[in-house]
Amino acid sequence: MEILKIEDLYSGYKNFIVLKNINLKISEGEFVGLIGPNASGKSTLFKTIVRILKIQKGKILLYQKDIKKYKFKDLAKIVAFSSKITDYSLNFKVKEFLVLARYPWGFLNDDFDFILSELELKELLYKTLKELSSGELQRVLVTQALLQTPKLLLLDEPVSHLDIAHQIKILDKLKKFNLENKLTILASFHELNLASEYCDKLILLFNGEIKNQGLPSEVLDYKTIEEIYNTKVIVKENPISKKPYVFPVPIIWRNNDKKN
Amino acid sequence: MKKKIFYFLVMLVFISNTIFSLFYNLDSKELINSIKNKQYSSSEYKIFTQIRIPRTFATYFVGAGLSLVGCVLQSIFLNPLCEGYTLGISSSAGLGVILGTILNLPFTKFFNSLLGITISLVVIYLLILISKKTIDIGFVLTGIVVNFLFSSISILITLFFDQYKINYVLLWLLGSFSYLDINYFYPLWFIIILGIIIILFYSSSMDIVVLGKEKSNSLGVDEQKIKNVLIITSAVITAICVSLTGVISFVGIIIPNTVKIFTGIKHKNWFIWSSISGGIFISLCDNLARNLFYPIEIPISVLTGIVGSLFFIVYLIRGNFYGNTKN
Repeated sequence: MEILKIEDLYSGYKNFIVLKNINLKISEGEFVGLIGPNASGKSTLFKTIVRILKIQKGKILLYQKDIKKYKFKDLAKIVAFSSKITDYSLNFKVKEFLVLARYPWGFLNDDFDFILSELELKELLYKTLKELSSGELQRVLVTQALLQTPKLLLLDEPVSHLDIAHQIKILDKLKKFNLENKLTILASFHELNLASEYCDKLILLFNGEIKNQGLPSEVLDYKTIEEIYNTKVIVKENPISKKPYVFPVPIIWRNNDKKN
Repeated sequence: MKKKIFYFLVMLVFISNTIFSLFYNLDSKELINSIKNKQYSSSEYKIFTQIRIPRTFATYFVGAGLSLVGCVLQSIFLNPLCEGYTLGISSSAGLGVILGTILNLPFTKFFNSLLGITISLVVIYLLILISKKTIDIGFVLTGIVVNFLFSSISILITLFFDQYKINYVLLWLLGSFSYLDINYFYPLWFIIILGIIIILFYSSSMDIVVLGKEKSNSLGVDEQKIKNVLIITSAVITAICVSLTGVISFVGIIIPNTVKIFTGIKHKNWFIWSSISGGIFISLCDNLARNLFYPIEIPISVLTGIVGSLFFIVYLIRGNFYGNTKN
């Protein structure tokens, strides 16, 4: 079943439009990756879906209902967005901060031991957020979004600035929730290969427009990537997962390539 | 444990301070006798009902109101040095009240404070515009400039229109409970309480509002609406407190920041205990101001100003008051 459908969407900030003519569909239980260079409109898309930014033209349908017709609180029961937080909120203790996720549900059903043990956060509960490392903080932010028990989870670069172990740890857990609890996830990535490994579907944004969408093998085509990221790459297949893998080619090797 | 000791101490001080400010220097036997014998014209009885009770009440309400406003402004601007005084909201409300009084506008004092509310609201929304451009200490600096501007305009207006009142206005700009007008106080404490209730009602949503616009929207909180309600309520409380007692400085910084060390960042607890402790603090200060150099009564801002400046200095040295809680 379709959970999110976007039709001819135009959106952005007061005096300039970032997203142009966006059309996309996300079905229940999909793990969709949003890729594209910096300033391509990934965060703007998220902010428009949770109504932080106003839609200027077009429609966003959530379960076939226009998001403008949802109350803020009802929308928060369906969609969770792990966004940036202010520096001030770093003074919260982890536990106090996580509990806030239950606000749209009136703080009912506080039994979230399951999610906490999944993400190995139990030993952090009484630290303040500013005592955490960036990997731990990222995990707390993702956990908070999960605790909101949404149907659709929006993650803005959930694994950027993390080492490879933490990246895999977070994405493995998300994939598990995706498969076992039928949680629909829309996440943006800078790391193309992680997106390719974990996502069922990729959406490639460039200058506020969708350049390409579909299976990772369709989207991660070397010509498109070279054109959009303006760099030389080779796309090969991961021998185990059979997903496409993008190798960047540094400038010193490009000449050799030509010679051969 | 630390929390419980704090709460216990606060209650202890509250009770002893109330008894002190109600009965100090008053012949209590005489008072009880006059109540028993229904001699309502006796001087002890009159002092008790017409001076002591309203003054004690007023100190508690004004203190609670001002420190709660401090809490609200600090969480809205995400800056621990914000309060009605440092942002210039008190003195802008003061200008309104002085304008009304000096120009002898055909209103009662209550409407003078409405004038104060309007001016202070305009100032807050201007400050919000500024806060998007400057940060932290620069923002507080803006507020202090605003504060000076409005105090100076108040003095200028007084000199221009009614120079005999300059003494009164100067004293009033430092805050004092000795000019408390009972006829005026009784309808107003009700509004202060209403304001406090409104702020406490929204206190748990403030936990989410301080996370920022993005996070609060995605958690289903209409952040802008809550901020507007709280700002208007704060302006009303500040203006009424100012019209009752004049400008009292620094309570809104001292109390919330101290209480936060004990209650932690959760806003509900923080707000409730700040308002209680704020009331007690101002009442204590008023008792000191009255009795320290008896028969001379010193303005209350002299006391709060000394404590507040020390606080500022400690803040600047230590950098941060938050997050140091451990239990």
